[in-house]
Amino acid sequence: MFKSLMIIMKKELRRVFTDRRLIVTNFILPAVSIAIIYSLMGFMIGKTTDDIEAHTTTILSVNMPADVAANIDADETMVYTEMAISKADAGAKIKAGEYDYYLYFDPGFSEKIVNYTSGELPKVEGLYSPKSDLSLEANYKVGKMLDGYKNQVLANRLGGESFLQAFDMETAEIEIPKEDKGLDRSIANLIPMLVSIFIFAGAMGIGMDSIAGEKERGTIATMLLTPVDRGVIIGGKVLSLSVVALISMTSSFIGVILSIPFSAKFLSSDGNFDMSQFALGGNELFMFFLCMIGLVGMYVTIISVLSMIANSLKEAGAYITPAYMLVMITAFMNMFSGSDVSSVSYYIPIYNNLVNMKQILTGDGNFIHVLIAFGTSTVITLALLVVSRQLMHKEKIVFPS
Amino acid sequence: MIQVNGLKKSFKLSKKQMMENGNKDKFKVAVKGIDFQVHDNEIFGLIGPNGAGKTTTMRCLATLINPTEGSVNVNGFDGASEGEAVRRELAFLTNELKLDTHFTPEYTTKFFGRLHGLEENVIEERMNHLFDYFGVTPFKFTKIADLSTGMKQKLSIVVSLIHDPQVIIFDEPTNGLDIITARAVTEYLKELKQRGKTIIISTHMMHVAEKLCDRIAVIMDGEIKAIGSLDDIYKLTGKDNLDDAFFKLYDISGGQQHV
Repeated sequence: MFKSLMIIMKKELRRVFTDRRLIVTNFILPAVSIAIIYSLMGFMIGKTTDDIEAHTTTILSVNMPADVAANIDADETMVYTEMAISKADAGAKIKAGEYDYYLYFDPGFSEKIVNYTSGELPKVEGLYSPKSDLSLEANYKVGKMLDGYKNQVLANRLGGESFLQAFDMETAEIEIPKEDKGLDRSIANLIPMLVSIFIFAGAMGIGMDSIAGEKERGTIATMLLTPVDRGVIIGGKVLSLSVVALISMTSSFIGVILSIPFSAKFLSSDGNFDMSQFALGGNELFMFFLCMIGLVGMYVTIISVLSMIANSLKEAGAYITPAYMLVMITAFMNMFSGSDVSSVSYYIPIYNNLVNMKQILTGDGNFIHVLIAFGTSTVITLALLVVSRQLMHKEKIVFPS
Repeated sequence: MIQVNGLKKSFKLSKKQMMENGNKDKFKVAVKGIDFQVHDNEIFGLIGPNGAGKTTTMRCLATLINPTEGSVNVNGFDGASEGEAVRRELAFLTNELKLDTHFTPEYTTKFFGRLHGLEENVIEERMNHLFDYFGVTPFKFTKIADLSTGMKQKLSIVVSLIHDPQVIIFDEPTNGLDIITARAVTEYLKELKQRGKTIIISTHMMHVAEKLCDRIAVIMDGEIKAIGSLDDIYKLTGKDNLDDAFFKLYDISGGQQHV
């Protein structure tokens, strides 16, 4: 049986690795396209941020008080132009991109501030365009600058800056050794999602062709004439698909790694991620590998069962797409879930592997949880293999016409 | 030896198929309880119109599908319970079974030889013999996709025979072959018969059946209308050639007629 399994697996792998089209679409294209797309995204996001940072904010002001003007003059990234202009006209200029911000002060603003005791507060009006990144940035910068000015005013009224502070506060991080700190949280959230989706996507195309395609072309029926159990035939296909899925996933991951110099800006929370942070220990790597194998087994057998049921490649695509969406939903759910995980999560198939992957990457991996997930994955994989074998014995499935 | 007892095969119809048939029958009975034996050292012909049940009978013999009722026995092995043993004993060729066009004839033949559990040297020896006989040798490293229809058919024959089976079941073996290759196939079947093999062929070509078969079963609408040697069929129908005998039987209504 094992010999037959290996013969079928080798044939399936040979089918993939001697077909230039399949090699390009499953192993080269994912790495290249992901590297290019992620790099491009990182580059564009970086460029937008740099452009905003390099831009000098232009403010259209009315009745600009001298002390506020001094604060703006002290900031090299802002300039203002005093002009007698209505709010509506200023809005039109901002919309047209001539200015980033409109700032209006009540006439005699400084005197009103100095002489204020009670009653109506002196008025400041700001106007910006929510559709312009530069105008949004101007709103942030002007707000920050006016906060500083407000503190100056309050400090003068109270008799010194120290009166603005009610207490001193110090916060500190718990000291965690570097090896236990794990990856940047954003990266740790992202990687399980990528791994999960890449595994499914890698197995999907070839899985459909290897089972539904062979059924459609009549080549699987020829194998049924050999003295090999039908379960062994499907088993060989599942094994080869697992290898293909792992290689395709690795290829896609290489694409992500190649893009890191450009994509770190949006992949990590602080934008300073580098490959040295990937230094996982032996235990962590082993646990991570178990999680991946669990996912590979389930995804490949899900694809196999759905491809078996389908009468054609087209039909297989229609059946597998919802499964792919389910995989993406679980991946996103894990990505956006917090660090506190309910104990039920460790028993939910697929999701438990993703949760464990994230915890391994953040230095919180638990071997028992990983074993529970691996156990549930193995049970489901074996159950789906049995279902596949049963389907192989159903005439309506194998010979649908 | 092949023994078929009360073989009945029915297929459940889909709603679409029921509508196409224009009746409310949920099942289509393709084979209606047939019996026959094929002996070693014999070529047995199954002839009948399209949809008569020839291919279904052969698929049951090859264990691709299970009989609804009755049994098939191949060289002492029961088709339903000893499928793997039956498949070890037989070669089955039909045009619905295809070879992966991505591979070469050499790899494909070796692959099926390995699945039959043959040693590499045995595969090599048999493959070379069959390739030479059927003229596949010059194309053994050509992708199957690039082979002509006839060459693909010859390769299918080679692949089906690589394990040197005792029982050979060929559905339309000369279909799509040119006259020279068709002759090579029929000659090879005669040679196999000389070597004591049990052979069943189905064909629409009456002259092929006349030349090749020791006995013939005429099957129509899932029932055997006549079975016996050519002389038996001629006597039954009062005709002197298979073509006319076939059409005579086609016009006769009624049950199975053994002669």
